[in-house]
Amino acid sequence: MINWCLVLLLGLAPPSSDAAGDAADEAPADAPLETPPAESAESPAPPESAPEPESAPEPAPDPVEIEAPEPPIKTPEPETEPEPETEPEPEPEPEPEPSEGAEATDAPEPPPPSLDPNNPPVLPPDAAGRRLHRCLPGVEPCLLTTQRRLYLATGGILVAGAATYLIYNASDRNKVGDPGVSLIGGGLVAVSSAVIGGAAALLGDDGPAIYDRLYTPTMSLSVGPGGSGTTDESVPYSLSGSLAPTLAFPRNLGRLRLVSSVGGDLGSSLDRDPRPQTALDPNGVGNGAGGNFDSALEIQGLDVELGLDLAMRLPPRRRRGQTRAEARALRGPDQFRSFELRYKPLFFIQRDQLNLAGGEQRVSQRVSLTPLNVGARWQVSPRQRFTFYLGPRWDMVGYGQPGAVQGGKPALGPLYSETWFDLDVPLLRPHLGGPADRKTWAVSQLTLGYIHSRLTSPGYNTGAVVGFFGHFVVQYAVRFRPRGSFVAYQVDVGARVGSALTPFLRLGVVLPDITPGARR
Amino acid sequence: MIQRLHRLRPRHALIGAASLLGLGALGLTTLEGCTEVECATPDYTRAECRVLAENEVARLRSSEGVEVRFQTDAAAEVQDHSSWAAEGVVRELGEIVEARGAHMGAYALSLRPDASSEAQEVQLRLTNVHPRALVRTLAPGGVELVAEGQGTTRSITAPVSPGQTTWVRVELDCSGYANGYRIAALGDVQTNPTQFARILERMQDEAVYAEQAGQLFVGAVMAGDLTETATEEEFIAFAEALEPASFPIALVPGNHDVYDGYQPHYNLAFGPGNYAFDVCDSHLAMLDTGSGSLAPSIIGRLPQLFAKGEQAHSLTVMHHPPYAELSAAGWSDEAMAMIMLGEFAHQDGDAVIAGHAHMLDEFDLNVAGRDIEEIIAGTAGAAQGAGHPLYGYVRLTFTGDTIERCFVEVPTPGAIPVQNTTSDMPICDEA
Repeated sequence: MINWCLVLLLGLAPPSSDAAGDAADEAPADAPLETPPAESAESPAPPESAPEPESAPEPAPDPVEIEAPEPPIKTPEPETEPEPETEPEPEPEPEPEPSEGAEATDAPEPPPPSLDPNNPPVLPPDAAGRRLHRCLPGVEPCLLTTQRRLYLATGGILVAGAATYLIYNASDRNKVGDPGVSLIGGGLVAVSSAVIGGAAALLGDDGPAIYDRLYTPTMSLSVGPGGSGTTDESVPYSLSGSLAPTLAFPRNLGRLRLVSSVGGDLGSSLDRDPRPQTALDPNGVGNGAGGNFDSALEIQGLDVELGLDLAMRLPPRRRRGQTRAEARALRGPDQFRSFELRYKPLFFIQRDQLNLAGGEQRVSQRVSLTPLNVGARWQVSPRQRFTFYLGPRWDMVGYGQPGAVQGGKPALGPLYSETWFDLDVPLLRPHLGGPADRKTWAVSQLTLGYIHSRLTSPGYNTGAVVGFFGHFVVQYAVRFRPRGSFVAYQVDVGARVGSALTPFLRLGVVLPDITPGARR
Repeated sequence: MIQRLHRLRPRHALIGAASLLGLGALGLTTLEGCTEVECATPDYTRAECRVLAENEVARLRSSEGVEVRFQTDAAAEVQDHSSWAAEGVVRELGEIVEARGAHMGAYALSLRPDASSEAQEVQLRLTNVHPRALVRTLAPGGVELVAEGQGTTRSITAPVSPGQTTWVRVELDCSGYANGYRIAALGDVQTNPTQFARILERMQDEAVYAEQAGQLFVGAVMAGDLTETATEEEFIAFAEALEPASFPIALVPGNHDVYDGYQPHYNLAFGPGNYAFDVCDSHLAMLDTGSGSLAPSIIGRLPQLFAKGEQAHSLTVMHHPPYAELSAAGWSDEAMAMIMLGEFAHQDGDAVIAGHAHMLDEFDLNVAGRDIEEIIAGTAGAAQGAGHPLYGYVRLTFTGDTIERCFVEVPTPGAIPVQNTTSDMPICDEA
């Protein structure tokens, strides 16, 4: 049974939805539906901006292709047959949006229905039902994003629930824990995605693909703040640089991106030995850092990550009665493709220099590989994407004194998985002008993720659930592109949420994709 | 201004709030003025805070002004009473000072009245002592006494003198057993102390079977999750469940044993979670991974904890398996787990014994060029999921240079004993 409260929560379509489309979609031909005045007042979404000027960056062929700068979508036309009386109103001025309750109160009382038992009255479906069948304005063909979010939430709940059930019932002995926990993490992100996506739609931020939407910067520097909550201990700042050029495939088939980063601590972390019997003389100068516990451990780490991220777009699903030629004809900037196949082999190297108690020095070197990390991306809406990767992981653990590190043999480790939800958030109000009208164009993106790995960041623990989950990632990024510039600038602020909160700040530069055969 | 506020769209408010949260998070991590020394405000769910606790409970100043401290055997050898070691827990129960040794290896206690104390003697009760262990009291003036008692408890009235130190030493002599010795390993009781009681009863027979085989049953090591929710009542009940045991048990806490942030119930009941000891020709390092990782200071002390010296074998026992494979039941910080494994391999470690995953498993790892065996024995009673549960303990038999392992199943009433385990580990012969 569908939980309609969930539908209402997740499925709130954007207030600019086209009511005529809804009515034509769901109403029987012989039962014309009344267009609610409140919804007809919510005009279709205004265009994000004017048509792309010549000074704008070279547009990518597909507006929903996440990586490339894209021209704004033109004024939308509903996918379903528009009714004359419900043509989109061009005025973009925001108006107070009457609530469902207000609508019901203001409407005149309908006449009593006829009570012919052979011809029962056809009652209009409730509001939730209409939302489920409402096309996303400005996108063609019709996208039922409310349904998609509902599918995503239901899928997330089912997957997470089934995995939880399996873990508690099949339990550790049957070794279902690792895939189970990765699916629970993915399911939680899926449900959160649907809720956040629904909330964004409710706030009017769902619609056609936004111009120049965000993705990984081509070059970037990340800073992780240091500082310790313990007086005489220290956690250094960390700095890492990354390079992620993107090769766009011809005919908009997908892309290949390099995943690379090198970084480490800008100093050593210092931990103290809290044993009272080994504390330094409290009447002396102590340890010189505000306490009298002796030093126990110093670590300075270096991390290297190298990999590829391949995205292959699936062809659009042919609709019933649509010929192959018609489906092909739909290809172009307005075509929305829902699924991408992903392949993301990764290679991690972590090297820590350790200064242990008693002055012992060691080097710990871990190498991890995920050569079979595959996944898929689902475009929940042009502005909302859900991505999932899963693959086995092999580790090689090396250790030893400096200059004499012994390597280890590959061992099959826990599964590696990533789950991501990206939500594009337009920053600039479209009726004030498009990219050509502004000195700088700005877009933003909210990202929520779960990485089923406790290798690069400590995992998330709650209660007695310790050592099972990987870590979550929350990130908000803003991209700025000066008018006519091929280069954009990006600022990401986020945090990895595990047994500790690890915030980070990333400053990046975005260059155009490498496009073979593209004419300059 | 009000009009401008009205023009703000919800997304702007969201963006603003997200930005403020981000900046706040960045700022909070760097506010040096808001720091305090380790565990100044106790939070015993933190591993480092428990390190402090386990060392504090290893000493006591009695109501009569006698400083009672656990000491290493090495400190007793040179009669250095200036410090103490986390080798057990001391508490005062009326007129008796009770000291629970954490393990079956050698350790000592120093009793030293302060100069103003009028105490002439200390009624000392030692628990968790091997029945064959020799407990000697070396009082000032060269007086030597041997403690009396049965099972795992010894009582002694130790003479003390103000300003002087009386030493009590506990040692287990493994000589006389030509065929080696045995140690039992298991973990994860949680919600099934009833089954654990059956397993404990079966382990009582282990000493008899070992004797028949010309081997010494040294005792058991338990890899945590002794309770379900870490309440004081549960720890008391578990301690009472151990009362009938005729052998010592070395314990570490699991994640289910470290819930309470305000009271270190595990440490108060059983003493340390991080300690090392030698018994017969083996070195055992017990590690507290209840928080999903080791305390950083314990990482720093790993070379000392894993140093096996002249011992032939080296084992380490912890709750969370350092290498989880596909069980998902691993450390919260895998980097720290791999550092621990690296140091263990570097110090010629042989086997890691863990629990956390409610199953029996065994596999080899090659770390830093050395093969290490990892044994997961979460079979002490906790629910194992669908299918016939495999309860019991792993028997480790040390003979010369080899460590043989097999599983002693203790089936629930009504269940038919299994013929094979789900791992490569064989079922033990009855003897």
